[in-house]
Amino acid sequence: MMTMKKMPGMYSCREVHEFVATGMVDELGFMARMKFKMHVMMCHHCARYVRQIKALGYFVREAFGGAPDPERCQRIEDVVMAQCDGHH
Amino acid sequence: MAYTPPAEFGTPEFLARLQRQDRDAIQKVVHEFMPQILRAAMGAGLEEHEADDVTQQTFLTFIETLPRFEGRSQVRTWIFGILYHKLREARRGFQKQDKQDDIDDVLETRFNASGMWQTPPREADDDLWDTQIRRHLEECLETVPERHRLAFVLKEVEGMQGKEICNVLDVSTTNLGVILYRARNRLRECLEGRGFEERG
Repeated sequence: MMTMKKMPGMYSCREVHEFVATGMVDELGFMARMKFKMHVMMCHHCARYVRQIKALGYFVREAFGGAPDPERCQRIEDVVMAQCDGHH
Repeated sequence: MAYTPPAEFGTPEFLARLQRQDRDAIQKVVHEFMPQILRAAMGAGLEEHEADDVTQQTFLTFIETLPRFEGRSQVRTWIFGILYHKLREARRGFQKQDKQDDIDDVLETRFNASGMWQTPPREADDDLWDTQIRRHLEECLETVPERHRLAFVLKEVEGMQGKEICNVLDVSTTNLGVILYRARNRLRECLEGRGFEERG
């Protein structure tokens, strides 16, 4: 792999990083996606950036993605439903 | 990854029960979405007791406003929208931010005039990884504005589609792109500064 030089018709590294960080990469059409993939295949800096951004999602799911304590959920649910009953 | 609510929640009969504040229908919804709302409140940066309180207030407002719920959005989107309003009431950080963000200036220095990396992403210091990632992640999340952090959590933890997050936060698709762009880059820059790269 190598660092890209901007070539006609290719995305720049700045464009690639914007597609990834905004989430626009999921909205790209077929040709645009091919151009994106081609750039990432050839540019090790962008490949690293893409891996890092994907890893952020993994980190945050690991840290915060677990189910909250069921007893805690039930306690709040009980309070909510008790107040709900009070209004009825 | 994508969450699918119980099919019953999308039926006209269930909507009618909710609108007339039927207790059993309410309890089903409260029970179903309690973990998600509580997790999002925690993920958005609230302390445990604040998260409990905001979650409770979110569901009470949900119940009060049910007669106005017309079913144009999904029940989950409606409840998360209430959560967002409660978070805005509770913390100034959830107010809409100024247009300029200092992370934009940091990113400007990363590229040259041709749009190529001039300060590329750095490699990881693997030694830091396994033992300290959670602490560093939590500290780095503190640097992300709360509203941006909520959008990021809804996307990455709750697996919401962009359109649903736009409805919850009442922003355009373009605005959401900017919010996620800033959240991800701020978090990445912070972790990079502490020696982390990719894994997972």
